[in-house]
Amino acid sequence: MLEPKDDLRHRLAPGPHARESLFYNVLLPREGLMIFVYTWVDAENRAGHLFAVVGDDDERLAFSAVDGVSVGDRDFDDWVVGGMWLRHTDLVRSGSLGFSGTSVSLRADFRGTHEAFDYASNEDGCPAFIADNRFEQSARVTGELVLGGRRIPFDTTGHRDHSWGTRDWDTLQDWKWISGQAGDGLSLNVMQLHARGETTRHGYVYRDGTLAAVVDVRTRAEYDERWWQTRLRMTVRDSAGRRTSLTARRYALLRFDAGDRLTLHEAGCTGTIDARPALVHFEAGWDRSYAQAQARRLTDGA
Amino acid sequence: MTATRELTRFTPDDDLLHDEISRSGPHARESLLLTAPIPEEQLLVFLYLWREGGDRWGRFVFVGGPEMDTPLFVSHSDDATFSGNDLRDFTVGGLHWRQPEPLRVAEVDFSERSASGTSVGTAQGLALSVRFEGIHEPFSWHDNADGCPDWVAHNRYEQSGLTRGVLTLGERRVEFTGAGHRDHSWGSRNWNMLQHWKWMNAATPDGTASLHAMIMSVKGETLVNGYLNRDGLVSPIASAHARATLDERMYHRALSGRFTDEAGREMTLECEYAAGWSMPIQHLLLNEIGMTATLDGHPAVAHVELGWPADYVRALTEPSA
Repeated sequence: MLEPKDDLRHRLAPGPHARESLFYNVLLPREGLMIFVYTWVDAENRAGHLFAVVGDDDERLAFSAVDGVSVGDRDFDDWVVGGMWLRHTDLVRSGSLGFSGTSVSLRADFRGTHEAFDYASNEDGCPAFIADNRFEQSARVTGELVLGGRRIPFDTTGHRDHSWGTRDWDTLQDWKWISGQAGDGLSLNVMQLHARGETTRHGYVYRDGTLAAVVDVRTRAEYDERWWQTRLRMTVRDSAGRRTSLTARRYALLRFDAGDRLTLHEAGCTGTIDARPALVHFEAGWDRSYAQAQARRLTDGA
Repeated sequence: MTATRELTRFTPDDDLLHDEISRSGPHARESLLLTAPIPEEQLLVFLYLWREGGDRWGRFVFVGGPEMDTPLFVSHSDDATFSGNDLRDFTVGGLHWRQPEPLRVAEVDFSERSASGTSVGTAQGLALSVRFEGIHEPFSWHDNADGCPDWVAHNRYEQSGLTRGVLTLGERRVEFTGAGHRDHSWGSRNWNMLQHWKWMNAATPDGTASLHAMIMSVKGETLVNGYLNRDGLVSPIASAHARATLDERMYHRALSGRFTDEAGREMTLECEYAAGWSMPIQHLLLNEIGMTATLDGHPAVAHVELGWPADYVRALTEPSA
């Protein structure tokens, strides 16, 4: 059961994979932009951030990544790492964040459109190599991006998550993480993991005022010649017995590496949830050598 | 019980080489496999041969024992000599293979001393003779909803069978009867597509029940192939769920499976480690394990292969620097 204090920092057991992290996105398909905000801290109070504004094909219109920044006991109610700041004001309900850098600045206010959902509430639980626990939440997000002198105000939907515990990236074989919103009243988050030869499913569907756990997922993705996902068709069955379908088509993509083996492909997409227009974030994580082998197969038949 | 639909019928020629398909092209390959687990003796007999690119023959012969890291006998050649009459009666690097009754029977003989230079293991040498008799017609992966992916093979058959034979490992002589499995595939084989798989085969000693199931992780999706065989009816698997218990080396020590076929029948598989060896192929590790098993609670013999990228296993089993 989540508590308000879960939106603040947790005591992490020391270790190479100890990690607490927060993620926020804003998808602006009319501008061809995806805003990606990620920050983390380890058990030794060393923090980092990855902030990016991208177009398609990993076009980085703004990008900042730092790690190892000493933050002491600073908490998420007043968080600063490099040029990024964040304030969890109304815990597990709303927060604000921003970034200031060369030719880019962001200010965004997130307000959850339903109660936060934690993966411990799923039948498959929250695998220990991902986190002790993790919660996900769809949100109404308002704010302004200033990019290259151009002001881009927004009032849209978005998504955030918060995880704490162990993040052992190298246990993962591949995964799909999807968040989508068709307005404030219809949204979902799905994570389908492949690790140690098993498949587990996590996340929620929020629909008609009811938040229900993901029970089963069917996905079919398509990829371009770089093995970057282009489309997704997904059907989700939830614990309320509902079946929800999603389609997505990429308009923006960010690529970066994590751990010793993995690459993350973050696609900003437009699409539908049960035929209603939706914003979709489709993250695909791969073993780098596998993704490279697939790209070689598609480009030169190797 | 729902009547099952008509399945692919192979012809006697399918027991031979398919030169028009497997002789050339990217990843061109034809292979035969025969496995004879002898769990009561903590032995696994594994025989595998292939032709790549139309002219390069290779083969694995191994006998696994109770310790995965200590095979009793392994002989491997990537550049073996082929001689014989197609696949009717032929020899690849000393592995003599005959198919006297098309689509039903295989007879294999092998003899080698460790001093020959290609073999390793704790035994001084191996002399082996095994006969396999299929207990149903060979099954094509094309009869599954997920089909036979073109990077696995143009076509492939799988068959449960009863085994009988004798092997001599150094001073140890074992006569055995039991259940085993074989397959034959032809076309392309691109191992790079696989992220992980579970290849599961089990049969009761009287042959009244058997299964072959393959669950593959490919491109982030899950593919399912195989059949259930009970009381003479072979039906394609419609759904398969299997969970393995892995040890600290990622060897599977036990596995539980639940399967449903197109005829609506269910079958459960429970199995535990008896004997095995981890076989390297390209960038992959194929953990081949003979297992004591039950099918729907009845005693059975199983061979379960789990395939992993070697780098992935290394990352999870070797302490980080």
